[in-house]
Amino acid sequence: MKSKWICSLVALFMMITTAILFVACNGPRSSESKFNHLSSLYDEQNVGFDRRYQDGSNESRATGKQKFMMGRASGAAFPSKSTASAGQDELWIIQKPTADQSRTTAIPDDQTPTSGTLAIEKDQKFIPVPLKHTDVKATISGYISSVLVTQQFENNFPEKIEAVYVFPLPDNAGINEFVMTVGDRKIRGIIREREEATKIYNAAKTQGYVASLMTQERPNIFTQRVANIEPGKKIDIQIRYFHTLSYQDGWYEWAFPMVVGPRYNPEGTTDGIGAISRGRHGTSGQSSEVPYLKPTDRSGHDISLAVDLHAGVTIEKLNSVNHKIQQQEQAAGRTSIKLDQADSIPNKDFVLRYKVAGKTVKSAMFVQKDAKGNGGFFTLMLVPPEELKSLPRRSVEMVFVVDTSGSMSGEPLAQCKNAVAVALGKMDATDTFQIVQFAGSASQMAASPLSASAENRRKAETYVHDLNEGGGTEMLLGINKALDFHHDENRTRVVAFLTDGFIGNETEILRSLYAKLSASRVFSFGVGSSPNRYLLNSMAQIGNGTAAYLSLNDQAEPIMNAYFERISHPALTNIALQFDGLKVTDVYPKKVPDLFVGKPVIITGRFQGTSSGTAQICGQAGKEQRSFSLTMGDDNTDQNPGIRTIWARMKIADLTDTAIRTDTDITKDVKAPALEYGLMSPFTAFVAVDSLTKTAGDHGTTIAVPVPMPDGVKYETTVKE
Amino acid sequence: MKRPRLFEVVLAALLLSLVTLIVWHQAKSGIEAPLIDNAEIRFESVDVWVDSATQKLAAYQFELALENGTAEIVGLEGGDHRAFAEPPYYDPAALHGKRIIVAAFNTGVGLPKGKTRVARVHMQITGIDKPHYVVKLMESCGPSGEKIPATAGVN
Repeated sequence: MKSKWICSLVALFMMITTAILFVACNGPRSSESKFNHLSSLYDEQNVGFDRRYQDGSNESRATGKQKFMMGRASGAAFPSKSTASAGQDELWIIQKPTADQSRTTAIPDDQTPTSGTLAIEKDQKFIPVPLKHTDVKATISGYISSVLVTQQFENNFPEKIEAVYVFPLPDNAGINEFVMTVGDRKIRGIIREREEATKIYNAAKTQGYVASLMTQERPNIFTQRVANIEPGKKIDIQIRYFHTLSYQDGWYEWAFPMVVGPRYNPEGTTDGIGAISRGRHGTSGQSSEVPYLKPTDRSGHDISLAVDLHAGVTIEKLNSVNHKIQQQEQAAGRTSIKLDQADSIPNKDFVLRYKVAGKTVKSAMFVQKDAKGNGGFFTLMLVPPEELKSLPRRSVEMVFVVDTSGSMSGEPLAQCKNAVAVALGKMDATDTFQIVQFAGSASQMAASPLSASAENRRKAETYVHDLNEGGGTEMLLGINKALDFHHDENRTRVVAFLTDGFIGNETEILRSLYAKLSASRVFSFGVGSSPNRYLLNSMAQIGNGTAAYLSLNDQAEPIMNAYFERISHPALTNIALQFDGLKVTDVYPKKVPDLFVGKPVIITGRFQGTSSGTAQICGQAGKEQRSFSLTMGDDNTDQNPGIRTIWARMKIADLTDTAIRTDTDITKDVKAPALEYGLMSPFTAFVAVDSLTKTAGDHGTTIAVPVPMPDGVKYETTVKE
Repeated sequence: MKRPRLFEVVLAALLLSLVTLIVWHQAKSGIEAPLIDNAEIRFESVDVWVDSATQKLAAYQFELALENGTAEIVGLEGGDHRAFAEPPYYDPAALHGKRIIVAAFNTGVGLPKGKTRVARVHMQITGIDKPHYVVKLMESCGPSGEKIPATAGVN
């Protein structure tokens, strides 16, 4: 009995020992996995890592070469770079952010800068912003432009800051260069997958390093972040891009957008672009936000711009649509243009239009050969054949869709009314028309399309004249009204959208347009000083039409005349390309856009061997087959360094277009060319870290750069206070 | 059969406990050592030099590879000499995994001779492993584009 009791006692002892050991063994595993989990959370939440030296100090040690001899308190040896012979052990302590460290709201309005205050116009309040100046230098050669944009950030606040700036660039810009300048040192940014670049930036930011990150929100909207700008310090960011110019009706157009217009985001949208008042960061519920200055506010941010234009032939006419310029002719076919200093507020698109000598432009080809001279990339401007003009006009069923939302209030809507009135005057009794207006809701002039009789046109003019503005921009309702009614088979349906395009749900709009398009053609008119050119160009492309722009300073009549000329003749459709003498692959856009009178299109591709040969262009004009040929020779080609970038950018645009049409996931397809050619895209980003400039403390306060409202747009009808 | 004495049973239990403790301790050490803390991210730079001895260096191309450790290239800076002060270019297509191909040229006057730092590569290092960099000079040319002998290395 006694021995049984003893055996039981021993068994109990062993069980308790085993249980203790089990807990002891598993305890550390459990805590370590928790640690890993928390660490990744810390990464995501930008928790600061406080670098503390074993001598107890935690001051910045950015002078000279950083030595990364690292160690743990346990004394585990951390190896070093071979040159760091006398590194100092450090302790790395994960520290939760204090309320002060984690705040990301803008500095209160009444906080004033310590230096660098610019002159304030009378009755205007000066608003300190960390973006001091933007400089733009462009070179145009033929129809290709290379643009260098420098954003000069400067911290005039008393504390360290992170600057965040949402800005526009042309929607077809192939951005392939990013350089951050810290003092007199220039650091080239590296293209990375967006998520990876963001992680690198956040890690550098939280550790106090000077770093920058550029991401794409839309093909024409980007976010620049610059971390750890110390008080009084300047950091420049340089961006280079290539793009093609548009050409229509004898005029080339080069545009540089200066400000993102206030976007309307329909209810339920979360990945839009929020329009907020200054200091109200995080209130729009959208993934990106643009803070706007009140009409009485003025920031010190200004812009300078210069264009070096190499037309190659005599420039007959040149004008700047929205800005005062200074022009100086350098040589025959070459001129330089500068933005007048008196017109340096970045609140409207810079639009340069010029006309070159000759009755019509010739199809022109540009080539960038590969390093070994065996093939390369090309762009080709396809000019429609003159004979299209001789083909008879077909009656049209015209639908005018007028945006009467709050952002169109005032001058933009007045410009729309002028344009519709001019267009109505061009119609005849064989045509029919309808007028749709949309804002928070949509309505139409008549139950069904009206004959374009003199009487009906007069009624229409009155209807248009009486249109009132106000409310949201429910463009989907406008699309539905314009396309959801019975189509007259005897007429060509032409839908003319007149809008500033200030919406944040572009993909939804474009997808809906494609789904409902049927046999209609869509011609978009971008109205105002800073229209959403990505939306308007895409609507025209999906709608098998063309886009035109009607600035506040434009005369509506010549633009609408050109539009009528375009729709008055059949387009060359179903275009097929055949190349003889040179092997061509990877042509973009894959579906060559229809060719309209006065409106060439640009295609791009790769070739092997020499670039000499012939391009045969076949298509259908009305019911007839038409074809014409172009000679592609080495004699008339120039070596241009931007062609491969333009090719890769057009490939990405084509993939994006396919995704809109088919709702497919193109992430991998876009990443591949973007990473291979070093291009900005929705899924890639540029990141630059200066590992030699470590500032004290963590990332400081985040300040979103407020921007002026686009010229002619009313703050009170577009920004929620 | 002889019954075990109480002393022998207790001793056996204690020995078993001791063995278990030793095993646990070793296991614990083994768990801790290879863990990489996500917080162990640090930034450093690598200086790349080219030595063209007595000849003028007008152009270079090198490949910088990471032989061990985990690192990302996060910036590219120029060198000491004014001829190569501008940030050099890299080949994005070759930026896979742990290597980068960097190149620059300058056709101006006052080109460097001898050993000069031509580039500084900013890196993000993750984990505790010591990164070991290897540089391979792919091209080195003189002012007329002629190939010149040179060596390269990292600091």
